[in-house]
Amino acid sequence: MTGYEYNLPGQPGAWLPGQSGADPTLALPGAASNRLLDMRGIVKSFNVGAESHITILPGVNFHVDRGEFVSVVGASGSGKTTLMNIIGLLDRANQGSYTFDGEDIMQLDDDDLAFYRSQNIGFIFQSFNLIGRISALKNVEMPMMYAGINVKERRERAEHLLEQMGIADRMMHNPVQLSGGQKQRVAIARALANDPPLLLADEPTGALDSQTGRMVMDLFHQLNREQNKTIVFITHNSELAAETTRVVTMVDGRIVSGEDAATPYLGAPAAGPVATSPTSVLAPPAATPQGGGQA
Amino acid sequence: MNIRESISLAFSSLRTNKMRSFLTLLGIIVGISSVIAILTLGHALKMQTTQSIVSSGANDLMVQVTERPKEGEEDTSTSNDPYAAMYGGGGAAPDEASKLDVDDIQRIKDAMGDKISGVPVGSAYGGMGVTLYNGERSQSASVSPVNLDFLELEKVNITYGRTMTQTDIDHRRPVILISESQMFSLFDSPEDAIGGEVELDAQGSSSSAVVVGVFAPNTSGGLLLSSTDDITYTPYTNSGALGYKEESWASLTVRPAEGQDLVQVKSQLQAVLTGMYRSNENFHAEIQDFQASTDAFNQVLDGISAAISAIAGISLLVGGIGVMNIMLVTVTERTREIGVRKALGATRGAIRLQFVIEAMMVCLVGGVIGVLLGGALGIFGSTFFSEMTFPPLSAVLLALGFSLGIGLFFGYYPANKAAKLDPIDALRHE
Ligand SMILES: Nc1ncnc2c1ncn2[C@@H]1O[C@H](COP(=O)(O)OP(=O)(O)O)[C@@H](O)[C@H]1O
Ligand SMILES: [Mg+2]
Repeated sequence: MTGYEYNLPGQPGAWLPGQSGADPTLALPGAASNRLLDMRGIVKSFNVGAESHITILPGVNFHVDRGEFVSVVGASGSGKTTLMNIIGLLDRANQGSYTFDGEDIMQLDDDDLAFYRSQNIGFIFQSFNLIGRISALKNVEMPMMYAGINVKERRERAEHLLEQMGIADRMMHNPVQLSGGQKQRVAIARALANDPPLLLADEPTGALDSQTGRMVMDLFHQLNREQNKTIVFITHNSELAAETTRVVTMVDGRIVSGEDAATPYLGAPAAGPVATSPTSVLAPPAATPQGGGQA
Repeated sequence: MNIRESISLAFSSLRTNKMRSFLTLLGIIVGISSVIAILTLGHALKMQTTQSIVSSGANDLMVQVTERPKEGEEDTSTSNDPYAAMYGGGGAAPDEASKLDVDDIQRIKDAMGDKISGVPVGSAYGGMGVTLYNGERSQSASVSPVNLDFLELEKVNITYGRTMTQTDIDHRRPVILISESQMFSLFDSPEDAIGGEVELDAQGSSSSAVVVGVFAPNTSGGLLLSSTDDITYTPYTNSGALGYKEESWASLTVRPAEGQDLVQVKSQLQAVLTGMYRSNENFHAEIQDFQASTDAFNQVLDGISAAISAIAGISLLVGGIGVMNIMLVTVTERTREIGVRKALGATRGAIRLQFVIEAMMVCLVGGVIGVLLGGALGIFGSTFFSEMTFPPLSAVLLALGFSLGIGLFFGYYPANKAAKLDPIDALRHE
């Protein structure tokens, strides 16, 4: 990967941005951090060049540290899903810089992104997005299939994950035979399949009744606490958002609170090397109530 | 993304859309089954005719006694066309002494040993037209004067009485073998027929003959040979009874034994004949064969098969377009699924592979059904004119390979369309 260089070999978390980067103050040599992803000056427009040209994200700064449970709130149409698609490497920004785990994501081509995505990000959608023709088990196996894991291993892991989610008895059912809560648990198991460091959940409780939503929320807390999953949780529900470590509020494509737009996060003060392998079990991160009280 | 997964996915979507899949497959099924049926029938026909040509002597070597070319003159009689020689292309007709007789036949048989299976004298298509009388009852017939080799090589199948013997020939006995249909029109029963005496009326000359045997109609003759129903066989030494006497021949047929190298047999026979005619200044014996006409016949058959296969090809083309159409529909229907797969790490290649394999599986299923259907049709059809013939393995493999090819070809475009979908647009798709 070009465009940046490590100044501390073996510690990919420390980086020097290359030519990109909208904000020159980002050159922070030696700032070894437990930052998982960092976006600067992200601009996203649709229908570029056409009359219907519309800019949804006019220049967003957003970061997530390892172990954080960040919620993103905002009115419908404020650009939460658009932001999530860019975080999740499903979509590309028109401008700005994006580093994930120290890697300059803008440089990857589509197929590299597909693989990177399967290794690093687990998606959970409001509408579950399970594939209806195949069993819950096959749904959970799918990300592992695309990641090239052999049949036996992925089957074992999928069974294990469904057990963890408490729906081992529904393994062979097709999604149409499952309730909303069961579906979302299958979807969470699927998101965990390749043991990615980041879970991206776009209104995962939106289609569920409050009791089931509560159960899904508890699962997220548990994953964050016990498996050190970093979670970005998009929601309408301010009560649920309040339970998370940081609440980011969006209005008309801008982040109005929860993220300090002017000065970049400097990372946790060097507290020894941090394990950075995407699939390794991470040490519990230091709680960093950064930016939470501002604005 | 592994292929096994794609195959099982393909079958699961075939199952969920049974009716639609079937309609899509119809074109492929019709195309493949007609190809298989045609190839099976063609195969049956070819085996059948080759067999009947072999048994009726397409490999036969025809020995022809012709005038020796004069010194310095262009030899016109060595043309390989047997018909030219038959119809007088060979110059003057040989005198009696120069013709081939029974002793010459024996000499040829001794010299050739097991390289040849015999020297049949007689015609499978009949000989002189006569009328047979048994008192009031009469029946027209075509009398063929034959030797024992002829009866053996033509597999004349005696169902009542006995066949001809060497003694019949040696003693010029006026005996005849009649066909079953002749027997029923002249006699009441086989018992009456065997030993029964019939008048043999051959334009002017009339003689009597004794029925010694009845033969069954020739069933192995196939499409190309006329029925043997109106033929009557008599010893060639009895040809005097027909008003002419023929015990030496200007041309003879020599049948090579099965499995012999024709070229080798031919050159050996030519050497024998050259030896026999060494002292004859005016005539010599040469060999023609029917290989060329057999080849021509096979070519015509191949041509017909190819033409009908081309027509079947058109229906496969139509079927392929149907598959492409349904795959495009499938891709649209499953846009959201494609988006989900991409979000979960599927590369373009993986998506493309999945849909190409799905199209190939659809076509393969159509191909298998087509092979079964066409095979059944071909097997059933072949029984009408030959033994039951199964589709040649090469045709089955060709058909299955072809249906996979159609899937690949017509599935590629829709699959590529799926692969190129933008994951965001695909996920937003309702
Ligand atoms: N592909 C697109 N083309 C045009 N406009 C789009 C497209 N995708 C999203 N938008 C618009 O962007 C805005 C933000 O959408 P979205 O990110 O889905 O909001 P949220 O998830 O916060 O409800 C909406 O006004 C939506 O109409
Ligand atoms: Mg949304």
